[in-house]
Amino acid sequence: MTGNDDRRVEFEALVRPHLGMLYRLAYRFTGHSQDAEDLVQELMVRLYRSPRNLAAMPTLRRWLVRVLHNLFVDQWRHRLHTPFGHLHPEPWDGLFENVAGVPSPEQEAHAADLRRQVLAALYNLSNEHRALLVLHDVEGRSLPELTDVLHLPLGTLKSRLFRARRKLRTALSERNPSARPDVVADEVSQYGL
Amino acid sequence: MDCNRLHTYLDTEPLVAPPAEVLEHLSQCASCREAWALAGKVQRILRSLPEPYVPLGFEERVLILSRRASEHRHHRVARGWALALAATLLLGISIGIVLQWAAAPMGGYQLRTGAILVPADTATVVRIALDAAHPLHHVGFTVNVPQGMQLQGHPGEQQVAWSGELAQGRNVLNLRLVARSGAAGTLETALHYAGQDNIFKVQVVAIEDESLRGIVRRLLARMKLV
Repeated sequence: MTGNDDRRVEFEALVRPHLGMLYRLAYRFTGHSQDAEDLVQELMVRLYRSPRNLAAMPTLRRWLVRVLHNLFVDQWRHRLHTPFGHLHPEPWDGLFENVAGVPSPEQEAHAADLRRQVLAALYNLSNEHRALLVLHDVEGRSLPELTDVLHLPLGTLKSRLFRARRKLRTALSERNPSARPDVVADEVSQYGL
Repeated sequence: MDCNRLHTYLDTEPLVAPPAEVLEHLSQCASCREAWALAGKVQRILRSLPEPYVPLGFEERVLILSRRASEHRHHRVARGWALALAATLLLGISIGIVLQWAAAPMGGYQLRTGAILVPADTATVVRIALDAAHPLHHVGFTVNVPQGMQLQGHPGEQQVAWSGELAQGRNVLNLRLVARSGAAGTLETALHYAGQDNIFKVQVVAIEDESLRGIVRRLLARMKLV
């Protein structure tokens, strides 16, 4: 085995345990399975070509999240994929399970419609805004944690999160000029309003 | 607390345990209650998105293709459909058709029998490429699924139909197919546009996952990829 082979074997042994995590994150960034594969592959090609001492990294997983995020935000461009609504499978399936109680068919239809709108709005945001919403609002990482992962100042992340949420909410408000009264009532009744 | 501050709060804070001033404002302002309701639902929807499923063979595929791409510096990195073609070569599950009334496999490799193999009882994405020379509106799509198979999210439906649009250039339709072991039949995709129909058929055979892995390993060995 040559030195190159040794390095390749070592590299693959180090990154392989993280590939599933990278794919899932890439999928959430791009919203598309093929784009997710492409994004992770592009990252791997770059790492192959610019070998770093990954073994010496104390937080390799965190570093991989950062470089994947940076690649997506800074250099990734949308592919031409038609959003085939209900046939774009992953984000749409199994969401009803998270609705509290037993919804009526009408409530189910409304909830499903809102979910589609949320996902459509999310994937219309810029890469930068979507990536932050994915990391913070979807994956539940805190802003202090993200300052560490992404090496960005807390203030930058806060203002970016503000703009991302505002754009998402504005897009949804335009589609939902008036929330249904019963939904509003459900939402605020927990606070005794 | 006024409406502007309430909206800033919505865009910066998690909507749990709001302070008293927020609650007081909400009790007096109907439009902010609506905004609050929508924001709360959005946050819960985002937080409850299911974990994406990692496709079969992804790790091997991405490492092999990345290694080969990095070894050939002067070659373009295999991306997009180059990768899809490679996936086709590896797994034989991608098919392609060309819109513009010339339905034919688009360079995709299929098994000699013409069939594509999918692992049983596992959702497998069958990709169909549609190349449109111009944007097309009001395109009808109909997918007929063989007995023993179904599209994920459409249990018990042998036919799924909808209408939509095609953008200029490449469009990719992902059909997430789940099949019982031993199920076999014709997966039929029909496009209806401007009074014309275009139908593409492909044979699909579902086999046990381990059998498929064996076939993939042999294919990889034959192609000297491993």
